[in-house]
Amino acid sequence: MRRPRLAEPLVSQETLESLVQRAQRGDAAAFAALIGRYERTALAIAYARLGDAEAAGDAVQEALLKAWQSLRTLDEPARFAGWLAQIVRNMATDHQRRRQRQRADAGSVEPASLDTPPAELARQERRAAIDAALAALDEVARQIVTLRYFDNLPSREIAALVGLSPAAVDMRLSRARAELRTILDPSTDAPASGGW
Amino acid sequence: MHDELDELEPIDHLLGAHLQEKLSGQLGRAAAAFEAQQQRAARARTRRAWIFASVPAAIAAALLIALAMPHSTARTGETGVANAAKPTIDETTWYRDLDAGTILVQRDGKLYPVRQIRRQMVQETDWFDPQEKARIRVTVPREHMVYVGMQPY
Repeated sequence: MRRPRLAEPLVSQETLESLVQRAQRGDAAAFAALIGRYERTALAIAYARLGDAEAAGDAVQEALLKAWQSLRTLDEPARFAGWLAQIVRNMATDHQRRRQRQRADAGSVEPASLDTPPAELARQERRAAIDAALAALDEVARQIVTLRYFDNLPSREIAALVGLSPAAVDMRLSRARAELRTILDPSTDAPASGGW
Repeated sequence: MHDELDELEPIDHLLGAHLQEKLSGQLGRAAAAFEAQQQRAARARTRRAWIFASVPAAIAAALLIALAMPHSTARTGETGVANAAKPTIDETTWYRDLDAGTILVQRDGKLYPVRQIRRQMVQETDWFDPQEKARIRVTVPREHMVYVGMQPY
C-alpha cells in the first residue's frame, strides 16, 4: 500500500493556488502537476460512483481534459479540488448512463473459467465479496471509503470534497467500516450483492 | 478518528490493498491523455502558423505575377518584339455529360417529356510570357443543365 500522507499533504494550499493560477494562464506543466496531485482523488470519486476501475479511469481521463478546457471558469483557485470533484462526478454519471445502455445491449456477464486454479478462484471470490460489500454502502459512504483508503486523504480534505463536516466524515467512515466488517466477516453468511 | 497509522485494523488493510489493486493500474492514464492532447494541439498550432505564413507569401507571389503581366505586354508592344516572344494564351475545356433523368415540362397546357443532362465543364486558361518566363493558369469549373426534348409515344 502507498505510504499515507495524512499528516503532510504533498502540495500545500499556497502552492496549489499558484499551480491553478498558472494553469489558468495556459501553463500546461502546472496543470500536469495538478493531475499528478489529484488523479488519485478523482479516481476514488469516479470509482465510488461506477464500481468499475476501467470505467473510472476513462471518466477521470475525460474529466481532467474537460477541467483543463474550462479552467478559466473557476473563480476561486483554492476551490479547485471541489470543482474538479464535481466534474468527475458528472463525467462518471455520463459513463454510468452509457454503461447501462451497453449492459442492456450486451446481456449477461461472462462466468469464471473452469480452468481457474482454486487459489485464484478464492482470491476472485474475496475481491467480489469486497466489491459487493462496498456496493452495499450508499454513495457518500463509498466516496469517503475510497478517498480514505485509496487516496489516504485526511477527514478534513474528504469533508471538503463530499460537502460534510470533518466530524460527519469520521462518523460516516466509522459506520461504513463497521458495516463492511460485518459483511466481510467470514463467520457471517455470504454478502448480498449490492446495486452499484 | 483513523488518522493515526497505529490504529489501523485488518479491515483497513483489506480495503486499502483491495482499492490499490483495483485502481493503481489506472494511474497515469489522465497524464498521458493530457500530454497527447497537448502534442496534438502543438501540431495544430504549427500547421496554422505555416498556413498563416504561407498565405501572405502566396498572395505576394500572385501580386508579383499580376504586376509583371501588364508591364511585359506594354513592353512587347513598344519594342515590337517578334510574335514568338509575345505572351500566349491557351484555353482548354473539358466537359462531360451526365444523365440527370427525365422530367415533364408544361407547354401550352400540355406535358412533354424532357431529358435533363447535367453538363460539367472545367475551363482552363493558361497565360505564358516567354520573355518574363511568367505563367498564370486559371481553372474554372462550371456546371449547367441541358434540356433535350423527347418524342412522346
